[in-house]
Amino acid sequence: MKTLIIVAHPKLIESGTQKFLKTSLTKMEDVTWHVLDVTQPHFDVAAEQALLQKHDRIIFQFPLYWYSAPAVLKQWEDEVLNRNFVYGTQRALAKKELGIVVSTGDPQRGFVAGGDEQFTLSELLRPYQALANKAGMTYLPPFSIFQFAYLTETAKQRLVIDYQQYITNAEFQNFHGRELWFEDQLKQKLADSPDSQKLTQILTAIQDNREDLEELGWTLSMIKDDEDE
Amino acid sequence: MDTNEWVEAQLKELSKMSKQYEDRAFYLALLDLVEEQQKRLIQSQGEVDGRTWNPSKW
Repeated sequence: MKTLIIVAHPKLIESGTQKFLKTSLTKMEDVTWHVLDVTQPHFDVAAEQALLQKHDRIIFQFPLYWYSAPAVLKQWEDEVLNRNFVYGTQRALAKKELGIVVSTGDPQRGFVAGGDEQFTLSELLRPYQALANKAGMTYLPPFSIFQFAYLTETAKQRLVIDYQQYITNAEFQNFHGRELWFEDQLKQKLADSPDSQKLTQILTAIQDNREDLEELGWTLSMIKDDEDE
Repeated sequence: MDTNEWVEAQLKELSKMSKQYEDRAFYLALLDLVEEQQKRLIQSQGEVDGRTWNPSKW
């Protein structure tokens, strides 16, 4: 699976969050980090469309500006996502995935009915869900980062891995898919680690746990089928 | 010490001692995963036992 991250941030160099996210992906394969240049008057439509076509999972990544994306993303959408490409004869984005990585300086507790912001992020990001629908894409649950600067060290570490999975794990939404992703990552680390013997034992234990869980899952589903009869 | 306790101890150490930040993050998250596996194994085994012990089927 190839992932394209379209980064829309008018002050990218000043953003600690974006720098952190970019660094998180240093060792990840099949990821393209594509920054929208806010200084150019127009986008090269053919080049942008070609880039989209080469990838399977498309990510819009931006800080929340007045409950929406920075203007450069809307400009990119308006210029690049023309009718034929999206839902006319080409339908070039059909069957791809659309994900949103959104950061905000406001606390998570405000994004709820009755809270300071009144609306959930899923509600506020609805235009992207509509776009995915029109394009025949699968819309992924948004990946949100609240108050990055206030996160504890361990919360930041967990963010690295959650973000890596949102970007590179085809099955990040279920536990079994996450188990397999960790096994793959561990196998890659094995190759050039001085602790390879220890890591092999860890890998074996994790695989055994996963297989035991799979077996218990099958047993349970057989018992439930039997109860239904 | 059973296998999973040994694994958890190793991951705790790796999550503190690894040189690269990204590796420390990885082992911390892997420790979370192993703990979740343990929880699910106990819950699933309990559910199998509970559903097998079904007096209405006697």
